[in-house]
Amino acid sequence: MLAISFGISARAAGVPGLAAIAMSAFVYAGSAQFAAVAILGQGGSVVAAVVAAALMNARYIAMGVALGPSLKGGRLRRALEGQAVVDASWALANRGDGRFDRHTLFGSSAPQYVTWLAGTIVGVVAGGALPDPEALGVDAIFPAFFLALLLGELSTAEAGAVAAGGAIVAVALGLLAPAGVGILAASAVAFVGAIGARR
Amino acid sequence: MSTAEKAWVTVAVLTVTTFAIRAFGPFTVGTRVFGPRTVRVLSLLPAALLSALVVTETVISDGDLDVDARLVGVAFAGLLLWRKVSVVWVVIAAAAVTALLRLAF
Repeated sequence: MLAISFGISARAAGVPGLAAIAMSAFVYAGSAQFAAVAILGQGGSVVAAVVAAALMNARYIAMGVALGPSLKGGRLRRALEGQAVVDASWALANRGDGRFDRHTLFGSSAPQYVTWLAGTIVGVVAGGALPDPEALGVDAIFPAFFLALLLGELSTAEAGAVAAGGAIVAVALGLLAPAGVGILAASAVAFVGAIGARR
Repeated sequence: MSTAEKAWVTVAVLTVTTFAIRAFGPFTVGTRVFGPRTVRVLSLLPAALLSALVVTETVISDGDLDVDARLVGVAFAGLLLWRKVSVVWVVIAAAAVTALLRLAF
């Protein structure tokens, strides 16, 4: 269902249907895809879209470091096995003792990949058939989805403060600077938050 | 560059960067790469980015403040999320509330 709304929103943002489908097929990272398309839809540059998506995916670096020792084979084999990481598959495979179950990782990631790709295709087709996406409230899909993800991140006071700071920076710069710049600048608040918390 | 062209370039670059990001941890097993502070920054990045995206996607259109039915739809989404409604229904409800308000006014 979220994949369908991704497809519809991508079309509403002016992204070609095939590009949206290719993105789901090759990038396969929901929040990063939503972020990149949202920034392109705001008129942002490729650089802003790519950097925002990469920062959104930066958590995969930390998740991959934790997962790495549980994968099999040499470096390259492990690097390939690591491609099965999405939030849900990583969390399910986490046994809580510092080890991860490879088969659970693959077993939950594979069907999710198929659903994600199929949903995007359905969304792209449906989105292309909509005469007036705004009348159907399609532009509320992105912020509602981001809000859902955000609430999942707010487990600590530190994260709450960073989120509030990020929102202020993004709105201020969103009105003054080119599209997408405010969102990137907001990520700097995470650095300030992490350093401030040490005191 | 049109939005369509930008989208294709973005897909190509993200394919490579996302692969590299996912490969990084498993590839570098056995070498200690990050201190605790770096890990903390990595873990705080989504909160900053997501809240930035929520507010800009809710009240800004084409670089200007644009407060309309969308804000009510997103606020309703917040209420449903607080009531532990599943994300799929939240997204549909946000679009539906926004659409109904636009139809009514």
